[in-house]
Amino acid sequence: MHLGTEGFQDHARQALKDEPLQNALHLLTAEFVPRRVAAMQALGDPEALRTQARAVKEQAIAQLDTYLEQFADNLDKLGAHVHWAHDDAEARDIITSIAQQAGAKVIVKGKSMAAEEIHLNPHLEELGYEVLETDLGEYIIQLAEETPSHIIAPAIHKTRQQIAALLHDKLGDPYTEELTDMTQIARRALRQQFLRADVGITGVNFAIADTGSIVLVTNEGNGRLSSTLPRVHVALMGMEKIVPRLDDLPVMLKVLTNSATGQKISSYVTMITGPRRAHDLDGPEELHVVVMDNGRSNILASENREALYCLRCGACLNVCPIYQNIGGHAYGWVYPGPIGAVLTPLFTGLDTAKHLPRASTLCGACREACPVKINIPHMLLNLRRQSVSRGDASAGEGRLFSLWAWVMRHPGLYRLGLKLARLGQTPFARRGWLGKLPPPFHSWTQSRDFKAVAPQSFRDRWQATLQYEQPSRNGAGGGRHE
Amino acid sequence: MSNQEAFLARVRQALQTGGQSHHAEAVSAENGEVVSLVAEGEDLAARLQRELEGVGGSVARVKHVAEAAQYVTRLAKEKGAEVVVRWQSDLLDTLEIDDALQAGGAKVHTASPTSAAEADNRRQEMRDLLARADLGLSGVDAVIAETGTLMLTAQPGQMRGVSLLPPVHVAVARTDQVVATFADALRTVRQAGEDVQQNLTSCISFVTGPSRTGDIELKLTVGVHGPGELHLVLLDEPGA
Ligand code: SF4
Repeated sequence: MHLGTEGFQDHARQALKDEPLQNALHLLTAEFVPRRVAAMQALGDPEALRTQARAVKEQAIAQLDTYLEQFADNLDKLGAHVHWAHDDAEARDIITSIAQQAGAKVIVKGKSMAAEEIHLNPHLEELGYEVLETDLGEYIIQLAEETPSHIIAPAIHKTRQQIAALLHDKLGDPYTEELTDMTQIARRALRQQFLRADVGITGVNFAIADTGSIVLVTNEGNGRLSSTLPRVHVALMGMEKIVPRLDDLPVMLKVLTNSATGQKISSYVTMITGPRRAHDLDGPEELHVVVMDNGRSNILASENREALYCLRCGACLNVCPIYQNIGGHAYGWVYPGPIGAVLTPLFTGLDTAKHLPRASTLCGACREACPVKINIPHMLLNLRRQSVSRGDASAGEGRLFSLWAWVMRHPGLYRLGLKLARLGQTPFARRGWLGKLPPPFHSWTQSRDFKAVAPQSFRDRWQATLQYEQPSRNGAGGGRHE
Repeated sequence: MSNQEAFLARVRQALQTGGQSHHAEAVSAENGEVVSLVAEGEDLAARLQRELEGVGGSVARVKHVAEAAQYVTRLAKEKGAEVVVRWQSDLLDTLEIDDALQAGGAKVHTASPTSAAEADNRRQEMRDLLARADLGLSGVDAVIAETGTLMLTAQPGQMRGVSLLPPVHVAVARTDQVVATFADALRTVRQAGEDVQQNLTSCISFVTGPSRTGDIELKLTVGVHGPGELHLVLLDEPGA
């Protein structure tokens, strides 16, 4: 189960002390970031591509009702079933009844963040179905009874040795740390299950309105197997996955794979247009597409609408100085990192997730990395503002900032304040930094240093410089500026 | 369960509520063309080869049908293939490869097109064969030079599983099937007829290299679920 978002600060603190996790995060940063940067640069004009990709999502979301309807009509023509789920409970019920009608025992799953979002596995397992994650990373996580910690690399927090031990313990194969052998062990175990499975559940990367196609982007081939071998294929999608036209696919695909893993294209891109047709020798007999709202219409109505443009590529996680230090689990819910700090409060409410929007330095790296240019820092500020106006900030903090704002509006007071601070800080300052301050400022310096007030303000130095330089300028435009 | 009407009504409501603050939206996305990385006049086959080899696939350029057949037969032998499942397509038929493969010790099964009723009877059999197959042999519908990608549609004679279940996948293509970009490949699909949904078939698989994963310590490993080997035989004989 997920850790829960309330304990964010504790989880973050623990994560910082977790050595294997820290190693994994260093690896992730060292691998994914340069790969993406190089790949995007190789695209010639990445900026133009991002603009184009964003325009596609803007259009899709601005007319979401129209495109959803068109998508559903097209699926209908193809003989696929479309289901509409208002919330997580409805989505679970829909999928359960599909499994029931299929007389299913074994269910195989491709990677799906939407399924994680509605806690589908535990629900189906409780009802007695045998549910198998088939993405290697997700499979490892399932064997370990944990949850994913990264959108693209779910098992990034586990070391090779931990995984080797896990495969040995759970599957009974001889212990090996050889990557190829480990992979083959998983392949054999899962292939058996693919052939037994009655139902395959996958996510959706893109849903194409004008053809009724769904597109799966994978590297391992488990998405292909899940949507080919079982008699029934269920595709679960958040309603924002829509793109208007088939012709939008080239650009969307390009920005997605290049941002996610730095690949020009993933090993497999599977475009499914309806269930198998009468003459096909393989493919599922039934295709069910479950379109899920689960809070998305609230986001659509809010000032944070652009959160719905997210492609779940993971790029913003990899560049985030906070994610790089604490990893995915600390965020406590399905979506970690910068976009998680936005989505989690939007989906689950600020009551429990009020810490997340504050877990950001607002450095803007996420926005720069995002293939659809989502302004994450802006939304974090929106959420912080909302959080403060609900009274989430402590009374002391509120008073401090009111005082600050008042002083800032009065230059004389401000200068006096600086003078006092310069005197007051003397016992605490070390080489220009304040490491520890007394109350009420102590909570700031608990986990970070504060820059000491400089002996001379910029303004004073500027004026001194001007006076000093003036004679050499021969009076040419050397007037003093305030 | 929600019905479509209620669901879409909520979406419409939300769009209106959020409407004012989003006037900058709906920038034209009409321009679907993506900048191509393939230069004007670039040798597409050479580019294709470079890209596919770059992601761990192998490419063999051959001049004649006979050479293509030899290549595939030799590969099957090398792999010790006992069961081969193949597409049925004009190009593969011209290779006349079945006998040679059988002589090399492999039993060849062809996913030949059938009537709808017959298809119902044959599915289980073909699935069992594919589960045991050592090598899958397919044609392609197009090959994309920019990324080294095979486009495989699902239609009578062309099973999805041939390029998916066996540990080795061999595809045979003619150089005139090579297109520059993904968008070009989609264009060939559109041009196949009036009805786009019909042309798209139930499934198009775009395959770029062997099945791969980086899920353990981000180290690349191939062959996790799909084929661990992908061979493309590129036949340079026009109109073959
Ligand atoms: S917000 Fe942007 S960068 Fe982050 S996962 Fe979504 S699409 Fe990728």
